[in-house]
Amino acid sequence: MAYKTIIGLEIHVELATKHKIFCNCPNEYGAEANTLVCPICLGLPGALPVLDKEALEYGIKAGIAFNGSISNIIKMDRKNYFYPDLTKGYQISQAEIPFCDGGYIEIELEEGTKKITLNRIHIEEDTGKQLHSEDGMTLIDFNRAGVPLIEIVTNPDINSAEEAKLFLDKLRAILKYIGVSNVKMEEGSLRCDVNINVVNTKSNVKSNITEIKNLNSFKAVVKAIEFEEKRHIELLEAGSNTDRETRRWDETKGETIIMRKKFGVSDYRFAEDGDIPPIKIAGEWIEEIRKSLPELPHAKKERFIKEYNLSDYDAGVLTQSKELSIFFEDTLKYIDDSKLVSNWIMGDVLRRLNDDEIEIEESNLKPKDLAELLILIRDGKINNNTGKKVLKEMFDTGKSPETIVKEKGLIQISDEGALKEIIEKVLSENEQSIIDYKNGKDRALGFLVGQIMKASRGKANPQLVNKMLLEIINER
Amino acid sequence: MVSKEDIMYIADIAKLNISTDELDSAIEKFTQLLKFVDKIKEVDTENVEPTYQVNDDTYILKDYEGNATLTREEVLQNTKEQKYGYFKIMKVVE
Ligand SMILES: [Zn+2]
Repeated sequence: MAYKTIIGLEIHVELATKHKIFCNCPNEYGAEANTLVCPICLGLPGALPVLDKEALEYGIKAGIAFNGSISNIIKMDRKNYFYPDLTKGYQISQAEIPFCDGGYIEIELEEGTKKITLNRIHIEEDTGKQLHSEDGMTLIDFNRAGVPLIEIVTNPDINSAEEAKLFLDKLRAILKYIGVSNVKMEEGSLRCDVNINVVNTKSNVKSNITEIKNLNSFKAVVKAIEFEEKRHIELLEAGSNTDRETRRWDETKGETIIMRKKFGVSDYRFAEDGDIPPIKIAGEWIEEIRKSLPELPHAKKERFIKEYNLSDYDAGVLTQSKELSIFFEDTLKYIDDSKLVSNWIMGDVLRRLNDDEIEIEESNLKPKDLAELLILIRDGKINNNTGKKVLKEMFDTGKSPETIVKEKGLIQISDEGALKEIIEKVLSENEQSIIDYKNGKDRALGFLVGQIMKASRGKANPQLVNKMLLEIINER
Repeated sequence: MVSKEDIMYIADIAKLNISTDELDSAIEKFTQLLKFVDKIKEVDTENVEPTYQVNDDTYILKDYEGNATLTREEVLQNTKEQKYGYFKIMKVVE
């Protein structure tokens, strides 16, 4: 039976502004509980929230980067509900008019580019944080209350867990490029809810949409979608259906668990916030913000392909992270060989970063050092294999390649006299291999090269060894 | 006419205590209110721009340098229960 999966995402992104959205408390992560709060974010009577300029600017930046159209009026609404982490009994959010309408993000699939369209982006305040203790008590920290958030709501254009993952990767990369958020899922500065159902492509029977919350990593998003997909299909196959409900992802059990029936939109009794009058936004300000945006991943990728002659794939990987793309271009300032630099970054550098599960900016590697290393290799001072070892040492210690090469005595032996000595010695110890080679066993030659490299402790210039070895053997 | 169930549902999500004695009069008042809203809806506002406030529409966005926070003692001074600098409450099960 053929089913199509239909997924829409709601992504909450904390904006990395200096202050909270309606008060002058610092917007910081990880401070001691309840030390970054004031009468406004505590919702004390008489406190007057005032919208933060930087928060709105960051929101608009994201809206423009996601190709949305920015509203010329900013209107804030109250979303009424009761929960312990919500101080006022309502959240200041946007209902009727979001600050950004529409937009899209493109993802790269094997069959080509797919446009995931956005429904809207609105701006709102974050709530406090609850900690549940073993003894049935809850502790609340309001440092997060009033941190500016944007909520990005996609249309149901996503059709698989893989597409959701690609979408989130792209979304995170763009947000990082424009610098409006730390986008760290583990710190909660990026949070994602999934709305999902399936449709039988033959009978057109649909399952009811379920919403999944509590997804704290991209991996969890993928696993939860795969789990729900299967659950929806199984229920339809059994002649039953899913309930319209909110479920939570349980990481340890690897399954989604019902939280509650969905609260309908009208249950929130949205109403305009009387404290914050609608704000007209000058078109010039929006233009100014548009001009301040840096080059975005897609444009940078196209430029890399043209300017550095890179493949579509390589350019895509190198521009996936802003820091990596900067690292690549910084390295090129010291060595004018884009192919060589891209090969090393795509190969050994990324492999090491993946192994350590870190980003380039968190590693010991510096663009200038990588360039120096590649120059040593290109000039034949060290061979490729030694280069790999030096790179490892650079990652481990942060030392420059010159220092490492000197300390370890790794300079390649290209001196013919010195090489000849080593080759003669190895040959005298391996007479049988010479006979084997002369009897047509080519493998014997490879063995001898290996022995010579070993005797030189990896420092012999391999091209020179190959050439000289053949000459010497043939003379015998 | 608003039903008894509607009133009880709204009271529940708005955290209002409406006793059984008050229910009939609440239904009455709520129904009146909705009628009034219907009356307002009769006004033709087709070509009228909404008015949100009567001041002029210059709104200054917040753009300060300094920080303004309360001390933790001030923050927690009115709470009955606290622990490790947190507000302490009974667990709310969703
Ligand atoms: Zn505050």
